[in-house]
Amino acid sequence: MKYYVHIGFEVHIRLKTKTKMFCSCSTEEGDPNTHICPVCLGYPGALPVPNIEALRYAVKMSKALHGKINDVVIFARKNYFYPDLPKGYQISQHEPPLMEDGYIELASSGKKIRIKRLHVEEDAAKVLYDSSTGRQGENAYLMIDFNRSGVPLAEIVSYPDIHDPDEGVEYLRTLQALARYLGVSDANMEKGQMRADVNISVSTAPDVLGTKVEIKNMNSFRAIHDALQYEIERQIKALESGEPIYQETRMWDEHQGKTIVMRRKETSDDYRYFPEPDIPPFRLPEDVLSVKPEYESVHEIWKDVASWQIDDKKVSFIVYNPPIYESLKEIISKGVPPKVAISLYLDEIKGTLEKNGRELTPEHATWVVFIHDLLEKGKIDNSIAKRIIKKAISQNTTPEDVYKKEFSGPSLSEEDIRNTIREVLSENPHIVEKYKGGKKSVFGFLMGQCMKKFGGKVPASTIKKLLEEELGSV
Amino acid sequence: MTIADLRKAFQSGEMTPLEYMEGILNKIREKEKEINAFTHLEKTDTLLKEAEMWTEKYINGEEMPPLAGIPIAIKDNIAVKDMPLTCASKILQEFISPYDATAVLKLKKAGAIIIGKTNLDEFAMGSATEYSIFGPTRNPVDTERVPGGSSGGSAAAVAAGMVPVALGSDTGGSVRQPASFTGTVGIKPSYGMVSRYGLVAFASSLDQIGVLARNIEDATLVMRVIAGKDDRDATSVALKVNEPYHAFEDISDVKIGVWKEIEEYEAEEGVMKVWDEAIQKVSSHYNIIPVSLPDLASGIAAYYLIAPAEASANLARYDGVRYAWRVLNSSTYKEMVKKTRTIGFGKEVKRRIMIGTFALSAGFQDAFYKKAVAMRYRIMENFERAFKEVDVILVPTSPKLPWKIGEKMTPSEVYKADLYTIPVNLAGLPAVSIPAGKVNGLPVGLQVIGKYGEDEKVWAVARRLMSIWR
Amino acid sequence: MSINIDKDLVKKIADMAMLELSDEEVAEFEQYFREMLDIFDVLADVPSEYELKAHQEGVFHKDEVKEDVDYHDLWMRFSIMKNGYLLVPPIRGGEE
Repeated sequence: MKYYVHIGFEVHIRLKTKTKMFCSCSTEEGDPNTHICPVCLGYPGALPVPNIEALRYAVKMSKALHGKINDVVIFARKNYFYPDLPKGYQISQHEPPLMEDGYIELASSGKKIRIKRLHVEEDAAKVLYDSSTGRQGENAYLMIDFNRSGVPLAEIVSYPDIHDPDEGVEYLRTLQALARYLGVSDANMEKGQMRADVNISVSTAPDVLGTKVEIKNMNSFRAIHDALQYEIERQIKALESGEPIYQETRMWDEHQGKTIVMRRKETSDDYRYFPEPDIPPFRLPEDVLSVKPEYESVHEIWKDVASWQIDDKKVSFIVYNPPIYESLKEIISKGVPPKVAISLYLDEIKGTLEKNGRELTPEHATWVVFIHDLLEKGKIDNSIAKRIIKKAISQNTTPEDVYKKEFSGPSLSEEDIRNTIREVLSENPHIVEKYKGGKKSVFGFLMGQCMKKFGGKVPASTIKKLLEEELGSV
Repeated sequence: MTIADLRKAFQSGEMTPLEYMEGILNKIREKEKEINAFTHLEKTDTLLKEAEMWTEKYINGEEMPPLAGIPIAIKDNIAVKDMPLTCASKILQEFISPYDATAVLKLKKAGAIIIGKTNLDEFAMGSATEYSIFGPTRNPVDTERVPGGSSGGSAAAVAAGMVPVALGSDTGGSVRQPASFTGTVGIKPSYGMVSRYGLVAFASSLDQIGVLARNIEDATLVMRVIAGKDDRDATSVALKVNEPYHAFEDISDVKIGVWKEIEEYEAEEGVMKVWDEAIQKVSSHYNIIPVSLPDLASGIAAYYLIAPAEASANLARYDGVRYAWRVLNSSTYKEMVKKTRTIGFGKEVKRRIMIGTFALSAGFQDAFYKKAVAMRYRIMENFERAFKEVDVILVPTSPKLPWKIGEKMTPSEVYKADLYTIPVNLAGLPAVSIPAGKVNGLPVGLQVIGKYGEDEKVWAVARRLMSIWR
Repeated sequence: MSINIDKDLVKKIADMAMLELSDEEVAEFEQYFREMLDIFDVLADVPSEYELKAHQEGVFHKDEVKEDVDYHDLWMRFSIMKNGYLLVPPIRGGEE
């Protein structure tokens, strides 16, 4: 029996504006309840006023998702009671949303996943459970932090075009990357800047959707993958044994490794949506409507990186790291070949920084250009390059600085170099004899002596060449 | 004395703001116990000190803002920083506002002295100022009778001479009807002219802050001070309004209309008598043109769906969670919220919340809320057509005379008495209620309704009519 | 409008609105709803489709931080706080 899996996602990404969606409170991290005001706390008489930058970000994302933008924006009230919802309603969008009928191409495969809609809304407050009294979870007192209340969100709903957990994770990673490339969200799942709920159904016919089950409470890509895997198996088992699959909402339980039915929420699901009377429908201003997304396809980026002929793992790493991709592009545009750029920027610089507990920044891209230039001009070789990088990092300075201080100095002429080599040879007559007698292995020792004398200021390749010549003429 | 007269007196030294304030406080001492217009009064010392400060400034001959030293009262559903904001409800009892409404800020900037907050029907839902935790307000004209509502406190305070001018709010007539019942002037602006930031929302698409005063000059003066587009209110609009002491518009060629279908929705005999006489007087100066507004009477049905629907959402924030009191010792969030709201809200508020929730609920929204909105558009179109033929339309303010306090009426009977005022809010139009006469000593008001944005014209016509009736 | 107004409907609405009604109040509301439905009868034949249009320019706030109410003033109005958080009774009351 063949089973057909249909997976759709509902993703919330936090738009990284400085202020909240409907008031001018800061969205920065802070001590609990320090970025609050009468508006985001739902005080009597307070009114919402939309954040123009949030709209701009949402339009940019919508365009990058190739959707149709509804330029008359209508907000709606979604009414329900919960401690994290100050007004007893969330200002969101119902019909029509900001964007409809878009698509995204998965980063690696390029497969098109259709996007049903994107809309803008405000986030609810953050709720923690006070476990100090010994009670657990929903039996514990709630501790509420309203800093998050009112932060702008874009909700993106896909069609159930995804057919397996891997594709699912790729979809989320692609969406996350796109948001980061556009600079509209940091979309970090661990920080709650991106949240995903899943709809999944299994059927026995290819174009038929089975009973839809919603799964919530997955906080990482791994969790999503595991939850989907589990749920597919659960549903297949049920279909095979003739047991019913209920249309319900299930929670992913990380500890038990299974999805469990959520308790029926006592407040009904009737949200009584109606148009928000405090924000009359308005047409998006021209400067918002005309915003241009810097990128329109993560898949195109993937193809670009893949053309550098590096292994898939590296391609994936680079593509899913927008600051790194952009730095590499910057470096490459200055004439550095991709493979060299990657070697220096990622392997050497990033590698060494991480060993020192530090982070890569776009600034480090300039290092690569500088070092590549020295290499091209033959002023240094690869081993010196590595040493310059290590020193720049450990001394917390720039490669220019290190090079100037330790590796450039007055330029040694070829005659100077030969003289020093001859010095070494005259200091080690027995070794030279051995070499002339056919023991080529002692060449390494002589190289070492020369390298010591030059203190790393002369590239090894140069020393080698001249040493060979001098030995030849002894 | 009008405010303009007072200002001249303050400037010449004929009277000082301190003297005037002392007079106000005396009046309050004399009348307030019986009238019960106020929910909160600032301390005498504070008020006298403020009045003294303005007296000094006038003496120094400084440049004076338009309302310098003028006492004003604010309906207790409008936020004044550090003063109570109870909305006459148990659920906000002892709640003190941490911020000022924009309209209040403008008054403060204009030099007005805010003497206190006035009584209202709970959350502005009512027509008699009878649904209040502070008890009913009495009509100064006849203290056995209601002053109207929901801005009855403001109207009574003005009518009793306890304050020259007061702010109210008007969602379905709550400034105009109390004006009519107390023989004062009540102005409701075009929707969006005055910022709603700081006005506790009842029905967002209908609410507007309005003004009550003894004469049209004072009322318009204050309107001009508080009007203006506000960045904190996305529904506010920049509408044309003159400088505070500007003269009234020239309306010599104004076309005056009356509602043709009014015969089908007649008012009480006393009201009709005053109405007929008033129109008679007007028609000797102006050509009165009957205009058809066929859907107007359906306004009640539309209003009593839209307003409660919006209110049911606007009042969902009152749950005891983030401010004001809450029922303690509840074992769950839901229990706390339910108990707080059940104890905190009065009967009429609960009725509105219930019918509003019903109107929006799944399965009923199309048949009720949406049809109401469709009817609202129809009524707007009615007015648009009518205003092609006339500039203003005259209608009685209320079909009823002020009734006795405690008189038993069913909720729907009270609702139906909003017939003449509601359509104006549905269409967002500017309107004024002016005293048009008396019957058995009870005042009867009449409305001048104008085109959207033509508030100044409406005010000019109202003034002219009052002079015709004098 | 032929809607069946009964106890269950009234109770369901009250629950949605987070209100507790006594049996007497439920009966009163049944009566009130019926009266209101009478008033709403005039709308029966009104078609419920209409278009929402943009009648005025949008009002927005710039993306610049402006916090002009001191959050301590708002803390003063919280009922109970713990470590900077607002406390609220549990979702479930300690059963199961």
